[in-house]
Amino acid sequence: MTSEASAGVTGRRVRSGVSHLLLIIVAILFLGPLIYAVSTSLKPADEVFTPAPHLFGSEIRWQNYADAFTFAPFGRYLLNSLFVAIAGTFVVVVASSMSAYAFARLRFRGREQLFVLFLGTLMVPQEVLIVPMYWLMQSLGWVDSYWALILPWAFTAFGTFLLRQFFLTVPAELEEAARVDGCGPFRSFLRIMLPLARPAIAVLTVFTFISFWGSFLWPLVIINSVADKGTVPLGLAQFVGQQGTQWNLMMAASIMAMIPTVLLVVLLQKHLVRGLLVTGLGGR
Amino acid sequence: MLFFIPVMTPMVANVMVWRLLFQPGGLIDSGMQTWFGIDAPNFLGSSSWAMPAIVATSIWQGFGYNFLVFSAALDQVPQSQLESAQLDGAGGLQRFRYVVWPMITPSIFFATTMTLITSFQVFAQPFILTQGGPGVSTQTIVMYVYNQGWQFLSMGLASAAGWVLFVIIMGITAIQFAGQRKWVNYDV
Repeated sequence: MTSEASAGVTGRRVRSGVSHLLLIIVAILFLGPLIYAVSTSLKPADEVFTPAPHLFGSEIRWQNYADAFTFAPFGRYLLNSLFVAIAGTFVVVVASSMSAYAFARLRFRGREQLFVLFLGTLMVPQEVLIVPMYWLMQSLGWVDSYWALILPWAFTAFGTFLLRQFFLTVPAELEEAARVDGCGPFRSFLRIMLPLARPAIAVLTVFTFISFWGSFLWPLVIINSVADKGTVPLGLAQFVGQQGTQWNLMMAASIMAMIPTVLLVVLLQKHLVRGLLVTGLGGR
Repeated sequence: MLFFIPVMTPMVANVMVWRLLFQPGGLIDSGMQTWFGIDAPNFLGSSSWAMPAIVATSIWQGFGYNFLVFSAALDQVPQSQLESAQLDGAGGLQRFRYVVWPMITPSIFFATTMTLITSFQVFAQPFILTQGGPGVSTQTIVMYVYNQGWQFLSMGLASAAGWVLFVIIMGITAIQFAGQRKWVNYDV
C-alpha cells in the first residue's frame, strides 16, 4: 500500500518534471529570437556573424543605439510614427465613442439597419479596400501626406462596436436622472458615459495605437518620400536587401521600434486581456 | 506576458529579427555548425525552405495571442469536474479527451478561425524575408495585390485579387462555421 502510494508520488514527480522541461524548451524557443536580437544589437558590427554563437561580443556596445539614429533618419521615423499613432488614436477614440453613443442611446430612423451595415464593413479586409482608398487619396491630393496616414482607417466599425456594447450595459436610469435635471444628450455623454467607459476606452486606445504603430502595407503604398514622412516600419524595411546591411544597428532600431507598444501594454495591462479576446488582433 | 511581446510589437521589427536568424551565418546556421557540425540550408534563398521559414516566423508571431485564448479557456474548466473524473478512474489522457477538450472546443474553433483568416492576409513576412522569392514560391495573395498595384501599376488586377482573397476568406469561414456543429460544444 505504502510502496504503491510512493510509486504514485514519484510518477507524478517525473511527469511534472517532464512537463516543466517541455515548458522550458518552449519558452527558450520562443524567447530565443528576442534574446538574439538584443544580443546582436549590443555587438560590434564585425562580430554579428561569428562561426559559433556568442551571447556577448567583445564589448557591450550601447553606442549602436545612438548610431542607429545617424545611420538612418531613425529619429525622423520615430517622430512620424509617434505623431501618426497618437493623432490617429485620438481621432479613432473621439469618433468611435461619439458614434457608439449615437447607436446606443439616440433614437433615429433606421438606426439598427445602419448599425448592421456599418458592422458589416468589419468583414471586408483592408486588402480589398486598399486600391479604392488609394484612388480616393489621389483624387483628394493626399498621396504622400500625413492626412493619408491618419484618416482613411480612423473610422472603423470596431471601436464603435466595442464602445456601443459597453454603453448598452450602462443602466438607462443614470441618464434619465440627469435628463430630469436638464442635462442634454451631449452633456450626458461627456459627463456620465465617457467617465464610465474608461476601461473600454483604454482597450480601444491600446489596440488602435498598436495597429497604427505597426501598420506597414498602407504606409508602403501611400508614402513616397520615406526619408521625410516615413514611419518606423517603413524605415526599417528600407534597409533590407541592401548590400552590407548593418545588422547590429538594424537590431537596435528594431528593438527601439518595439519599446513604445510594449510600454503602453504594460502600463494598461489590467484592462486589456478581455478586450484582446474579442478582437482578431493576433497572428497578423 | 513575455509570450505576448510579438503580438504587440510591429510586424516589420519582428520579421527583421527572423531575417537575421535565417541569414547564412545567423544564429540557426552558426548553431548548427557548432553543435552538429553541419551547414544550415540557405533558408531564404531555397524554394523548399523559404516557405517553412515564413511559416515559422508567423507561428512565432501568432503564438502569444493563441496562448492567451487557450489559457483563458483552460481557466474556465472547473477543477471539481476534473477531480470527480479522476475519482472515477480516468487517466490524464482520458481526462483531457473527455473533460477538458469538450469544454475548450469553442476556443479552439475561435482560435483556428481567427488564425486561418489572418494567415491568408500575410504580407510583411514574405515582403521582408524573401520578397516573394525565390521565383514566386513565397508570393502571397496580398503580396500579389501590392506587386500588381504598385510595382506594375495595374490597379484593376490588384483590386480583383483583393476581392478574390475576400471571397476565399468568406468561403473558408463559412465552411468552418458549417462544420463547427459537429464538434464544438457550447452548452457544457
